[in-house]
Parts: sequence; structure tokens; C-alpha cells
Amino acid sequence: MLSKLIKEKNVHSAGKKGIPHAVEKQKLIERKNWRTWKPVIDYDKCIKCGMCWLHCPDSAYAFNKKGFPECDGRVCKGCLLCITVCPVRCISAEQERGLTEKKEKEKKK
Amino acid sequence: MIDILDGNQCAAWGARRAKAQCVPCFPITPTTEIIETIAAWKAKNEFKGEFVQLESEHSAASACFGASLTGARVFTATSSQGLLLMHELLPIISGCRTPMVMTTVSRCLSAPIGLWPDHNDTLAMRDAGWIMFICETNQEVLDSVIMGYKISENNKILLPVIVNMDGFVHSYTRTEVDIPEQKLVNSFLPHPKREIRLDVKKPMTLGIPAMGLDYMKFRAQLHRAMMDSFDVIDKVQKEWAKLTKRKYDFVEEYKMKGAKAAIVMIGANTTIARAAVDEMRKKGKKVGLLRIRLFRPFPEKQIRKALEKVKNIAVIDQNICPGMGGILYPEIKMALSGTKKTISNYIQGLGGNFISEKDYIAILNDAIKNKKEERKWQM
Amino acid sequence: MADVNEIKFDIKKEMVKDHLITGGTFACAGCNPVLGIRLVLVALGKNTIMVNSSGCMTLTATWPFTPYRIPWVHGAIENGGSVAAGILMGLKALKKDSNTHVVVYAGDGATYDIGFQALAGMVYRKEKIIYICYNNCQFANTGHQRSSATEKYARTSTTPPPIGNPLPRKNMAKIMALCGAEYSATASITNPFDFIKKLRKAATMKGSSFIDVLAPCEPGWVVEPWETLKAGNLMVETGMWPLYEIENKKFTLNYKPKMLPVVKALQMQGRYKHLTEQQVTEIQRTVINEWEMITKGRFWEAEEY
Repeated sequence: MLSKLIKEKNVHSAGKKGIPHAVEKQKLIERKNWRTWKPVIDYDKCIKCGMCWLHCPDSAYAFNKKGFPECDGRVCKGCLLCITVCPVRCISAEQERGLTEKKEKEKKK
Repeated sequence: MIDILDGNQCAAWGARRAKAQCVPCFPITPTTEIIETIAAWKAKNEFKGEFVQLESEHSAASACFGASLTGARVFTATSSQGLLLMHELLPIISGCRTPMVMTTVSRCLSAPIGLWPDHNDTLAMRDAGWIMFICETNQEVLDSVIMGYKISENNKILLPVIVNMDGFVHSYTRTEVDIPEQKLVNSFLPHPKREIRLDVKKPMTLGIPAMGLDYMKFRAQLHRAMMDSFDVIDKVQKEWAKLTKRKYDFVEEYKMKGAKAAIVMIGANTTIARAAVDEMRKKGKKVGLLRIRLFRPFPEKQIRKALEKVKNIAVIDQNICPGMGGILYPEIKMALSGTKKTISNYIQGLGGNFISEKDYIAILNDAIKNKKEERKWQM
Repeated sequence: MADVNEIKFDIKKEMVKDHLITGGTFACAGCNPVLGIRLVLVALGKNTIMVNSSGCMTLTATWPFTPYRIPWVHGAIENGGSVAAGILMGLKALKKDSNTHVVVYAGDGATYDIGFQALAGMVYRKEKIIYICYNNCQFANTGHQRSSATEKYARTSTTPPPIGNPLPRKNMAKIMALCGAEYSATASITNPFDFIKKLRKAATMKGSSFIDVLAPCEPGWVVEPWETLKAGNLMVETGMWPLYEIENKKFTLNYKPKMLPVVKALQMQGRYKHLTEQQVTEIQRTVINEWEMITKGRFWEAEEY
């Protein structure tokens, strides 16, 4: 009975040998639909100091080949802490386009 | 090597022969001698593992959990209230599938506080997901600790093991014990590499939360592993029997051939009941005894087979579930459901209340005549 | 050892490395405790085993997803110290302990209240473990109840207005120093360089280290996500959260705040909305008194810090 159920419900998919554990496979859970604002960096002003990288709770910032920080839109939750810590104030907030479009549509209606 | 040891020393010898690498512990009567013995060995460098006394049983169990997660072989011992304090950790240890062996020395629960044995403490842990052996002799304790590691560390099982003995009756009573040679244990008990463990070279997230259906799947697999362990335990016991000529089974039948009435029980008092059965058999009465050694996973099949031809059964419970009766009784009834047998329940020996051979003779005489199921207390 | 400010931390060196905790967690936007984990891993690197006590940070990983690229384990809420002690014991037995940091990352409820015994035992035995308490001054995961880290008059769901919490907070860093921690310090997420340097200093210790790091919780403190760092910073600058370290019972003040009026910090946080003027004055008086104690060499007599 149990073995039948285990087969049907694919119980063995729950972890190797049924041990509750997980291994990081570089596969991110996207959190982009959490945010209403997103940070936009003005690269002309950026001094590559790394403060946004250090203060991001969601590890969204990484550096590109030129040494400039880039925000990973998949995981950024739009907390905008990076704006508050930037010493040269080169990051600004932009409302998510999806949201503004929705609002515009509602207005038209 | 033949020696005269008490139960506590036997458990300590089991851990020493199994080369336990970590012993986190906390003292409690009547287990204290186990950790004292290991501490003395450690001081003389006869015991090579790490030995640490923590600040509570809860912390000792937590440390066992942590140590076992790194892949080390872990041993600890506790009893009574200490086991209850550990209770929070027991399902965590089994749920994370971390193998280890713990010796529990049965002692009655407070209040009123008492020192003498009954099985309420250990049987309260039956739903924690641990494999549970309840022993009758000191030799069995030693052997079960060593066999316990082999069962526990089996890659299919990965479940923790409790080896239970009775406080004082085992723990401070000396009997002749054969300590297996280190070479023999080494060949019997290799230390298999664990794939899933805490290692900086292979980072893993352990003890991870799982919600809803995922949680149920993990629980189903835990149950599955428990049911699968029957085969492994059987195999290990047979292998041990080959090496040492000491046979163990899930249940132990004593003079069950042609028996019409039988006692079913667990623990150290079985030895006294055996004498009663002998006495009765001498008088020509067809009685027998069934001792349950493996309590979790519950060997339903074996119990049903052993009691197939017995009509009247007396289940002896050295424990009490207030508001229901004995703990073993409903389990035996479940195993025998659908059969027409008279199954009675006797509660006795709580808090180490002394039971003599005569009491068992009276129970057996009762059982032979009984046509109705009875639930009695013996004091 | 030298002053913590002399320890070197070059952010340029760290910037090129991979993140050891990735995004995609369940934490709120702007969560400071998650940021704390990041800073810990930036400071200590990948040879770290992290033990977690039940709380919000447990739910950062949910099967089958995990953001951690280091070994991480969750036991229960009250046993962070003893699980870590077990791990250290196991590593010692397997002779792998020389190059690995065992770190506990527990909330203030799990440290100040329910996990006190395990922590005190760990510190007493002088185990080489770094215990980090992320202090958001309440049991945030269960819905912001009072813990013994909650400040006087703060609102929590079990100490509602008009009075708020009638009791002052415990001074855990001091208690741990007296329990036998070789290194005990307070830090703030808003001063990440100070925090990282303290972690690196703790990693060089032979005995136990305890770091109490202030990590504002946005729903708990009732601030906006982007205001969390500012709220924490004001706690430091008004003198409500002093940054100090105690090494072998020797006290050093690491940071001299601007000593702004406390009302600036209190105004910002929704959990202090109900305060009367009298209560604000009392908090200000306490802060002034305590600072006088700790700056004039009477640290061990101070009640709250």
C-alpha cells in the first residue's frame, strides 16, 4: 500500500535518500515581481566603490568586466538600500514598467 | 574476553569497541557510570574519541546532532527526565537522518520522583523515528550497541538507534559478559562514508525547512526507511551470530512450543518470568513467553507468527499510559487483530516495584483460565 | 590583539569574489539580518559552517531551494551554541577543524532568552566558535513579541501601548564577556566595515567569540525598506547602541557617535510612536548617564550597555 503510494506520489523526488537537504545549483528563485521600484545606476557618476554591492541584502549586485556594478533584476526586491548607501548618489529609483503600464491602462479605462 | 560487568559498563564497552568518535553527554542516575567509565578511559588515553560534558541533556542531544552531521560516529546515554528533555531533538535527529546510538537506561518518570526502573521514559519516545531495542541482559546491551552502529549507518537506513536497558536491574548489576575482541568488531563494523554531511568542500544545506506536500514526502520516506530496516536488522543480527554465536531476533520465543497461554513482555523482568514459565512447565502446564526485543519498527508479522497457536495471552506492561492502560497492550492487540484470542493486560512493576516469580505464576494461571479479556494491576 | 580598526579589510579584493549567499530568499525587501549573513560570509570566506537557530533566517532556505554556498544547518531555536559545539567536536574527531570557522547565526530571542543556556555553556567551555546574534530587538519571526533585547518603552505585540515594554534590555555582550568569552563585541549592520573587522578579529581567537549585531527589522520597527539602514544608523549616532569590544575583559570603545538627540531615532521608528514626552526624556537621560559611565572608565557599572 505504502510502496504503491510512494510510486504514485513520486515521494522519492523529495531529496536524495529522503534526507532533507539541498545543494545550491546556481538556480535562483526569481523575486522580480516583489518590487515596485528598481534601482538604475548612472555609470557616468559611478566610482566603483562597491558600497551597493556590500549593502545589498539580496546579493543582487555583481561587477561586470569594466568593474561597474550591475543589479541582477531577477532577485532585486526593490528595497532601494543601495540608493541610501551610494556615496556619490549615482543610483536612482525607477518605477517598475509593468506597474506603470497597468496603472495607465486603468486610467484609460 | 570474559569479564564481570554491569549494564552501564557494557554500554561503555560497546561504544569503545565500536570506536565512537564523539561522546557528548550529561550525567543522570542511573546512567552516570557509562559516561564516568568513558571519561576514565579518556583520561588514560584508552578511549580515542572526543568526550565533552555539556550543560544539559538538551544540549548533549544537540551536540550529538551536530557531531553526527559532520560524519563522525556518535554515542551518548541518558535516562528518564533527561530523555524527556532530549525529546525535542529526537525527531530532529531522525528527521535529518543522522545515524547515532544512544543508550537509554529506563527509570520511572517524575512526579513523584523515583529512581527505579519502568519503561515509561523510553516508550514515550516511540514516535520519534528512532529504531528501538529493549534488552534483557547486559550481554545483549553490549552486542546491541555494536550492532546498532551497523544498522544505523547503513546507507539505506541512516536512522538513529536507542538501546534500552533497565535502570539498576541492568545498570548496576554485574553479570558475566563476553567482550568481543577489537579485531572482530573492526571487521564487523567498518565506518562507511556518508554522502550527505557538513563539509566545507561540498557545501550542503541541512535541516532545511520543507512545506506542505514536500514535508509529507519526507515523512513518508522516513517511515519507508523504518520499514526497510527490518531486512537490515535481520542481516546484521545474523552476521553477528556467525561471528559470536550469540543469536538475536526481533522477538524472542521461550518455550512457545505447544503453548496455550503465553506472557508477552519487554525488559529485564523477562528473566524472572522465564523462571515462572519453567516452573509451570515442570507441572505440565503448557505455557510460554514472548519477549519483544525490537520495539520500533514494530515486528507485527513476527509477533503474529509466534502467537499463532496461543489462545490466551497476558501482556505485561511495566509502564502506564494514564487514561488508557499499558502502552504495549494496544500494540499487541493491533498485531493480533482479526484473530480470536483472549488478550489480557497486567500493569506491574511501576517505579521498580518488585515482581517475583510467584506473581508471574499467578498471571499464567489466570491466563490459562481466562475466557474474558482482563485488565489488572499488580502491586 | 590590536585595536579592531587596525585590521585590514580591502573591499576591492572581496568585490571580485562570488557571493556565498545568493538572492531569491523569502526575506523581506531590505531585510538587515540577511545582509548580516552576507557580511559574515564576506568577512570569513567559504571555509565557514553556519549553524542557524530557528527564526526568519531559517526560512531563507526552503526545500528544494537554498541560497547558501557554504555548509549550513538548522537545528532548533534554543540550541545554536550546542549544535555548533557538536559540529566542532565532530570536526576535531575527524581532524578537519584547523581551517574551518564554525559560526552560529541566531536571533536575539534565540540568544538572549531561550538559547541562553546553550550559549553560556559554549562560552564556558571556551569552544572556538563565533556566535553572532542578529539583534532586531524582538521575536520578529513569530510576529514581533518582546524579547529581553527589547529596549525600554518599545512597542511589541506582547507589550502594547500606552506603556510599551516596561523593562530595560539585557547587556548580552557584557554578560558573555563575564561568562568567559575571549572576545565579545557589539556591532551594527550600518557600520559594515566595523562589523567585518570584528568578525575577522573573532576568527583569530582561540576561545569563544560573541558579536551582538544590531539589525533593524523593517516590519518590526515599522520603517520603510529603504530606511532600515538609516534607522540602525540613528540608533548608533544617538548613543542608544554603543559599538564596543571586550577582549579578555578589557573594554574598548570603537566608535564615537555624534550623540544626536534620541528623539531623532525614536521619531523614525513606528514602534516608538506612542511615546510621551516624559518617556522620551527618560530614555535621553538614561543614554546620557550610561555614556558617562562607559566613557569615564566605569563600563562594568553601566546597567544597560
